[in-house]
Amino acid sequence: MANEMDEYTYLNSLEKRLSESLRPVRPDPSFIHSLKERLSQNTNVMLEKPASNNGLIMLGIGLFAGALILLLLSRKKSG
Amino acid sequence: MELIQKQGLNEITEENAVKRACEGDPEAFSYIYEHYVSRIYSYIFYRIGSEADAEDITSRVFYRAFGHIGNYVDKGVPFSAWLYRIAHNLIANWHRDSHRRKEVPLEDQLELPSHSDHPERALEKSQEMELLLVGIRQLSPDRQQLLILKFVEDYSNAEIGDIMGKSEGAIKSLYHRALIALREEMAKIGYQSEM
Repeated sequence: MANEMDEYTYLNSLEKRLSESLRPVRPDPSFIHSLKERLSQNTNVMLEKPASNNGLIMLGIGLFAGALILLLLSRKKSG
Repeated sequence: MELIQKQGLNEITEENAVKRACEGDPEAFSYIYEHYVSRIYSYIFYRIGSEADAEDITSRVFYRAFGHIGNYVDKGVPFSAWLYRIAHNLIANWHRDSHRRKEVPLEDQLELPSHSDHPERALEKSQEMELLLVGIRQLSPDRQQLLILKFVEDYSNAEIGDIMGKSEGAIKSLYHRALIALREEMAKIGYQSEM
């Protein structure tokens, strides 16, 4: 019983110490600012990505159409 | 009146910021960043104790979050829980990469002690805090996370449960075990708490 009380008292004391000692740490304002700048540039790049995907799709369609025309022409010549 | 209503609709709030960021709104990204950056940095710093590495990992957390925000699914828990989980995983990776563990004395970085302390008492406090942090870092990652979220970030058990993906009851139990484990670690390093 006495041991349980000791443990209870000790844990309460430890809890109080933690509560008094641990405080939030603020990052350097220049770090906050520079990361914000880098992230905003990165976000713009991410937002532009869909346009480049459309370009790739158009290029793929063009190449496929070109290959198809060449195939048809070669068949016509051999026929 | 109509203009005021339009402005109200365009205003970014804590509730709509995540949804708007998922849709690619740069102002919403900015809002989320400013709202969470200090808390995420503070959490990371306490877990690893190096200012330079805390900045590096904080950057990675936000790059990863904004890079994958389109995959974010709102399951009714705070958005911060998602950010803390990213941070938790990146910290685990950092610890695995053991050669990068170059620690900076914590007492140089923290706001303690307050200016009103007597110099001798201030020194005693900073030494005590250093010992507390040495003890905390010996605990399992889950226990460290819980103590930092509770005492540094001042979250309630319910909020910590959301962040850690556990019930409030499980957090209470984990908290009690964390304190007992910390007491054992403190005893090993010769810390005597005043009773």
